[in-house]
Amino acid sequence: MTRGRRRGLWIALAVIVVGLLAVGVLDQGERTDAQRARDLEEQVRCPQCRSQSVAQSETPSAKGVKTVIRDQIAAGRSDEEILDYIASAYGREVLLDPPGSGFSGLVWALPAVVAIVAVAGLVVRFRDWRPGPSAVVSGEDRELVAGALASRQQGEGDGD
Amino acid sequence: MNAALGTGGVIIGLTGAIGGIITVLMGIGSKRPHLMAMARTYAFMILGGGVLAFAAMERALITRDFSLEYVATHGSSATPALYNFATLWGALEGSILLWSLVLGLFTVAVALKFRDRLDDPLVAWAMVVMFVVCLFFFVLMAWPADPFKVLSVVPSDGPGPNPLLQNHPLMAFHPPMLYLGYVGFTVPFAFAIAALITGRLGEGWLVETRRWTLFAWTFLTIGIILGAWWSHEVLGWGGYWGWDPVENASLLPWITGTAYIHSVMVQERRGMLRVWNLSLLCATFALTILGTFLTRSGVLDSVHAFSDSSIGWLLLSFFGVIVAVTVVLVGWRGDRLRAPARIDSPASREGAFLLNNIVFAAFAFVILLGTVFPLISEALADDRVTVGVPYFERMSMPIGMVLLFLMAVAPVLPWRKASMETLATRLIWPGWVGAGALAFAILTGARGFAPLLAFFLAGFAAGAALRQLVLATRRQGWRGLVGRTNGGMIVHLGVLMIAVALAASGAYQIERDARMCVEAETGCPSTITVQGHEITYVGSSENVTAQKTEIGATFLVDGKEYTPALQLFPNGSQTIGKPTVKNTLSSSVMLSVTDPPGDGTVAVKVIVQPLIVWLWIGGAVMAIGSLMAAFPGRRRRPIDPVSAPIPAAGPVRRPDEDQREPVGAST
Repeated sequence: MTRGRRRGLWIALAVIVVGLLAVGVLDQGERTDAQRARDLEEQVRCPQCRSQSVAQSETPSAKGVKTVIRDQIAAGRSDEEILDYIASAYGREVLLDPPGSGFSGLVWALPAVVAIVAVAGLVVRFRDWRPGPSAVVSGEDRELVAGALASRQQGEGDGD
Repeated sequence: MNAALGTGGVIIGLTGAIGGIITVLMGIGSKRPHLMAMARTYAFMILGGGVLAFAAMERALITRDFSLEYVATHGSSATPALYNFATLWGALEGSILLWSLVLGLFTVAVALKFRDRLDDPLVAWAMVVMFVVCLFFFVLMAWPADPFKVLSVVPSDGPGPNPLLQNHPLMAFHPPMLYLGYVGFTVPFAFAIAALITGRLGEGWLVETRRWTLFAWTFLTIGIILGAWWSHEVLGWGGYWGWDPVENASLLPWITGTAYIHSVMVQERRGMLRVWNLSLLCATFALTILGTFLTRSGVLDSVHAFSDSSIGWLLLSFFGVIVAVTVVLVGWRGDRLRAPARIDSPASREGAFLLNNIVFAAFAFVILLGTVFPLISEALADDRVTVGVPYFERMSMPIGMVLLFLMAVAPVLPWRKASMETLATRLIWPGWVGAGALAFAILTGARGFAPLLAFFLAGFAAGAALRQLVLATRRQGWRGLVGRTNGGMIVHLGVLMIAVALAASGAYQIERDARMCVEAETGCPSTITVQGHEITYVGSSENVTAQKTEIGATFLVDGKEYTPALQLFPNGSQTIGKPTVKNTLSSSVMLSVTDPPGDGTVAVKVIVQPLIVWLWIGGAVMAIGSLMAAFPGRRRRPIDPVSAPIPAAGPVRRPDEDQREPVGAST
């Protein structure tokens, strides 16, 4: 494959992928009320369960929350307003997403901090890892290699 | 009788572990090989104790010996044979018993595999570590989690296992698989610690334990997939993974284990990342213990439930000891752990593996943080918060995308250094495979940025994996499908199937609640159509057995009969749904009854999810790929030359040094 042809193929690939992704993003219909309700249900914990969301549960309390969500959507509230309303009615801990402020903000901030530190550390290491001077082969090393090669010829087949 | 047998087994195991530790340590101290070789006898003693205890418990369950507290609280005379057998691992004490049995098996397996080398200090120390771990679990059984506690007043019957654990056969297989995985990591951990203690930190111990690690990892994978399958079939909400602490506890060692399987290749090839690999291995083993602690101590319900459970403190202390020992040993041997080589360029196989490891480590950190954060928050800030599915999904999605991208690029990267030229040539066809996957998804109606990006990257990575397999089979015939690299590519294909299935089933799930009647009337149809699947309500039935009462509702799904049901168990206060799933390669239709049927009418939830079946197929492909990877491929021996000779190599070359590439590695 020539260099020019390969470059052409890569450009065509990039154009097609970006184009298709754009179609996939722009061609989405409006979110229906049912989809909104479903998304909200997935963010609220069923009050009498341990970690199931309302969407997964058929308990009476979960059904109650579902009714609240449908009513609030019908009343034209925004997603945030609905979640705030549920938090005030059932308590903060029914929201499956921990709040971004206060102590629980840490659960969001720490991964970001760790990611930044890890990437920064990696960059620093890679800079240090410039190829060093090639190792100097000592006579001892040569003996070791010669010994290994000799034993290889004898002990053919005792690998693992 | 059963209690006596079982307690006898525990005592034999306990004695074997203590005896093994003392004898082998004395053997190492005084350099007496015959003492070290006795490790084999003690290993058999531990296994014998485990088998005896296991058999005693099974005998008690099968003969319904309700004088044992465990049988009285978890067994019942009505439980069918399979679930009765599986009741052994349905609760805390029994799972520790199963753990000990599997640990005994691994200890004996190691003692037999290395039978000619038990007097080698590395193997002897590894045996000591195995014995210490055995000791810990037998101590748990001897005292805080004694499965053979006897009741003074013998009840006539028991309540039976948790209803959810006795309505699907998968439950009988999922825990043993998981335990084979969890416990299997003890072996490489033992060798890692032995390598640190003896100071033999070369690559020898890695090569020795390579297959053991792969074995453990494979069973952990199978266990996790079976667990997801079970929850999809049984729980009836269309999900398979709920980011529940128990699930996270199994995923954590899987993540670090996966990272290790990759980075170990860098160490074998180039001698780098030694500290990192040791840490990953020890972290994997420590996480299996931490996971057991998190799920078994009750700590996740509330910090305050924790103080009641004595086993919790023991598990947490054991975890602390593992971490402390590892850190101290790595610090002590720090000077010998320095790598002889350096990474030449980030655009190289080792660079990609390193990045893969950073991403996996970040993934493990996020999951661990999310799992324990409610505890930290309650303990430190007195603030009860929930960290649920949305958090984990939001955090793991970008990580998953990066991993998919790495799976596309890494397989084509050469060791040491790649030029842009090489990359551009090798990646162009995989790139087009990705574009094809994306176009196909768009044509079938898939929309939304995240799932489409996932499909593209998965296609891209599949292209890279297939490229490797095609090149290898062209060169080596069927041997191009075995060996670590090629088997690994098959595992990748399985992972990609799962990734696509996760993205599709998560994004395009359709759910419908309906009230249906046998005779259609207004507002109550007898046939509904969901996503092109025709569902007709036929009628209800009732089935009463000693184990349970089952009220079924029969439906025709695209002409085929399915009977989801509601079940009432004598010991449960609430009804348990028993959904049915109709699987085809392209989509799954799940039916679950939400209200008891009556008067010719029923309330049903219909969930249609695309590509679900590929989760399980992908799991099977991963298992097959691991098998191929364990199968000896064409392997380079450590002393074989890596590259072709340089023509002007100088005067040291002797004429008899034939430096052809070795063909057909010895097995």
